[in-house]
Amino acid sequence: MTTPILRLNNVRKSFGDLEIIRGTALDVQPTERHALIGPNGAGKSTIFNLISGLFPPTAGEILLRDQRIDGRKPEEINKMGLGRSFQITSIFERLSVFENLRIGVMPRFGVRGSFLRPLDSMRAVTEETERLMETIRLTGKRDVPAGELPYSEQRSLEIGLTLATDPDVILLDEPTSGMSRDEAEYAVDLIRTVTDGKTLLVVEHDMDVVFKLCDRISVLVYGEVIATDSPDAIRNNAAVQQAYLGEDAA
Amino acid sequence: MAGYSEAKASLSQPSLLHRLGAGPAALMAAVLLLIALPLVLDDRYVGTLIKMLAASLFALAFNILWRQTKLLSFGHAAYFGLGMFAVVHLMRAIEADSLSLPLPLVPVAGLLAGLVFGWVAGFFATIRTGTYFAMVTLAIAELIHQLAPQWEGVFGGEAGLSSMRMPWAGFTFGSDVEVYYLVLAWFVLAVAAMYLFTRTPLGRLAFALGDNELRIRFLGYNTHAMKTRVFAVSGMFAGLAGGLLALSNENVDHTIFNAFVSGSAVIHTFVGGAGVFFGPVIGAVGLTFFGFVVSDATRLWILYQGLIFILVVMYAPQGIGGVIVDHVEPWRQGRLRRLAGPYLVALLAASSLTAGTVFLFEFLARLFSDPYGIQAAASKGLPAVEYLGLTWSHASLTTWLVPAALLAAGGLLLRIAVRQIRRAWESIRADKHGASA
Repeated sequence: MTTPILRLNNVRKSFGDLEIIRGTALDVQPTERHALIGPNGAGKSTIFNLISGLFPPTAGEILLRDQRIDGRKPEEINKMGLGRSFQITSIFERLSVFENLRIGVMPRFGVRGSFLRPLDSMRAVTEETERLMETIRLTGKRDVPAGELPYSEQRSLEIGLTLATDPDVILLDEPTSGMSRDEAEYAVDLIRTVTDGKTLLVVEHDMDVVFKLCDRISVLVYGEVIATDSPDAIRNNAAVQQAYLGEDAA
Repeated sequence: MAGYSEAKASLSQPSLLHRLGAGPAALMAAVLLLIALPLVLDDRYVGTLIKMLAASLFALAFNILWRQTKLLSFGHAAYFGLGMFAVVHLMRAIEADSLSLPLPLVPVAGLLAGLVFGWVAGFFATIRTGTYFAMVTLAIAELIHQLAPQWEGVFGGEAGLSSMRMPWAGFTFGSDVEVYYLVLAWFVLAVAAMYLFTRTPLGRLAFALGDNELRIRFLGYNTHAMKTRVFAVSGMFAGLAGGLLALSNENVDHTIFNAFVSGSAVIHTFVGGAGVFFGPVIGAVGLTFFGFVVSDATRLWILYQGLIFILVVMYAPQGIGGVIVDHVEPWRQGRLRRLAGPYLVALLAASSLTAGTVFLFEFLARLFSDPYGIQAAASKGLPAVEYLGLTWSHASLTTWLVPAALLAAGGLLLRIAVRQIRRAWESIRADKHGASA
């Protein structure tokens, strides 16, 4: 195997006396689609928050392309090429679909906090935003305020915002949660398209989605990764069945 | 109310004027009206017009932070006041001939003072959000409020600073009317600039920051730096507003840093409607006019202004501008007539309640006033009160029956009006959904 693009080494995180992440090790290979699964409370979202920089780990190291990112700020980690989505839809409700995406796209063109030119006149930004809007199939909703979109389209926009900064490593936190079967299938198809040639780490409860989408799966139980393997191997892993799938069935 | 979502939706309408909540014709008419007003008004009102423009600009500046970024500043008097001092200092320098600058450019000093100080103060204030942000802004303004009387060299001590407008290019700027046109020109420029600001990358980002700051960080932005910039822009326009007022007043003292001044921007904005671009103007013009008219009639006008503020926040939190926006769609569809009857009842109710309340407050104010106390002590009893050309005794039943009857009738009418208005709105909405289905 090649060097992992994202690596967690013995990462620990405590909140007060409570240790949520207990020495997690995780390797994500370039361009693979990697799922992180585990029962509720296993610490999956905490892992995402640690990687993306919401808070620093208590111990251990996190490496992105062999560079330490643990303890860095979210904006720095994003600039290093990592983007994340949120389990609870996290979009700009007052802005239109187009404007949501444009906020994410414009830093790529060196546009951040300038106030000397109208944003509408920046053609390169507009074109790139429209291309992205087409990719996530929301062109028909261009000028609809994000707060007024139906839920499943808000989820698409959530993914679109994650892609807007053009990250190489994409973290998606339960992208199909709350969706109907049809909507979830649509979302899986969309995720497959937009993550082509990129690295995906996804937290997902829907096992169908996981097995359909991912090349490898890591199982997180009580803050530790107990197994990382191909979907088939994970399905037949006795420890996983007992710790996770078994518990889920019960 | 339906209007809130409408106001939200209008943010992302591509058309400039739709967003402003006014058609091009309405805007042109407003500017023409502002140009024509001094020609038809008595000169003594022109000073009030200037105050209205400055107050409007000040509230709009405050609302850049609140409407877009959801940052509530309780200390904008600092930037407004520093703008005033900067302009007076510059005017003094010109007066002393140590500097030569045409008067129309002098307000730039206020703008720069607001910008620089807004940048510094904004850097500290925007480290925090929500309540803590509000507290820091309040603390910064209070700091200046307390320091100003001590630093006589800068703020002129208790007496403050005065200066005179120097003539330029044939204009003496001796009359309020000349000053008014100068202030108006700056006002129109500044409002246009504030609107254009919302179209720039930082202006759009300001809305996104208000919606979801955390997400912005995960999109690679240093949100603290961005909020500092938005704060500086807001401070800049507040400084300009102060500068324009200083140009007109030709003097300023440290009381301008009073929390009451910061509060006026908040009250004007919320009464006028924080969610609509021009809302703060409605509030600033309306309440400045209210103060001008009512303060001549009664010392209690601050109390009445407070009552208006409370009523708006409780019963029409979208403000006057928001209420107007609520009525645009039914008006376009020709369904507004259904509200006419219920609104007439509401008007009667409001008049009756206002009359009752004012009667009561004014009577009590006279009863508890110092002169009355002296009078009462001298006559060893409680003499009757002269009021509205009549004599009212505190012991007479009529005195208390009049406000009681007004309040009771008003309350009754209000209940009827509320029911009728609710029903009328329901029918308007039902028709709308029926039409779109």
